Amino acid sequence: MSPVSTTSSRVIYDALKACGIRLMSALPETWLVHLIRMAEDDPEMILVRLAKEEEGVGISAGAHLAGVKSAMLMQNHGLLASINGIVSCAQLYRIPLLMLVSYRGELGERDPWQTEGGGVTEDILRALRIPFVMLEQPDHVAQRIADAQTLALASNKPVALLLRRGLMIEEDGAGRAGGAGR
Amino acid sequence: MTRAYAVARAADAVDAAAANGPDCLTVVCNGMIGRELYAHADTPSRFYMIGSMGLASSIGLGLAIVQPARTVVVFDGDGNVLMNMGTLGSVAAAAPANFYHIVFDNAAHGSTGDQRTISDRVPLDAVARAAGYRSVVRVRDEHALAGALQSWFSTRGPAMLVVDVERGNQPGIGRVDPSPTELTARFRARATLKTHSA
Repeated sequence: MSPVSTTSSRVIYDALKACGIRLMSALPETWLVHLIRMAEDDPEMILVRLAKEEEGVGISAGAHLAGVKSAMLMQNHGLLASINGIVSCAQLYRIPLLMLVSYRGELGERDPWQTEGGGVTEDILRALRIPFVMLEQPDHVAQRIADAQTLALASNKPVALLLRRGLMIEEDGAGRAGGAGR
Repeated sequence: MTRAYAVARAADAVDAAAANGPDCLTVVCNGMIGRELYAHADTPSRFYMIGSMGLASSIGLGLAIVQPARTVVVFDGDGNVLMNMGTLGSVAAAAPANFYHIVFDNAAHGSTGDQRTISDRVPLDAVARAAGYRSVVRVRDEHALAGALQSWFSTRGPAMLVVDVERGNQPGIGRVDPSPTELTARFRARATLKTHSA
């Protein structure tokens, strides 16, 4: 039984579809399992499974060059693993990049291995000059995803949406969405 | 054979394959390979990386997946493949039949002065075969290269052609002229899906 919210995942997924997203690249983590399954089950969505998140920058660049809208789905540690691709491909070549990033390591995090990345995520985004917004409540998800996509396409640059604990985890605010090793 | 010679012959084969149809979409890794291709024969359907080492193959994979009716070619080097070796698995798993990966292998980082890579001990053709590319060929001389290129684009991808080339750079070779944003705009005009209402 996963404490990850299916309801919130569905709201996020539907918002991505409403933005015209046709391809998603993903590397799984616990908070993203429902979103990845939804993409898997959707015949209208192309799901590309990655070995490392930086590949997703290239795949989104390829999709954009062919006129197809895409999104990247990853953990904040995957964002850290993607940085040169973001800077030297997406930003240098002016590629819009819609990045959905699960924000692990915030207050309430119980997994020690998530805490370091959590502490630097926002500073990294600021240093990279990537505009970002939090997804915290189901009722603002659709608008914020649409706004992020609008800005990404208007600026031809990366934009990040940070998926927070309160949105992704159901009823257990103390954060039991640990994964392996507990 | 020199790398510049092999790059030029591969480019000619790409252009010949497109003679009776739409352009092949070519993504070229950073470093000397892109400069040699640009100097030999540039067209808007070639996308040159000047940074983001390793990522040309991932860009090609994205293109090939969303554009299954177009031929997608990646010009790569051994250093680039080694840097993003995980993508060989991603390519094999997605298995786009229109993905053609040509690797110019001199077991060295040419742009920085031919420092050794490890591709002389880690054979990239064996890696791609093990990853699950449908077709993998390695050629070692001009004659074998010509033979391989003749039928390569009629094999079913994902396909890899590894070409053993000599170290050394052509003195005075120019850089890729267009800016990255110009490269994006001109390539996108050639690569964008043409949507026709049914």
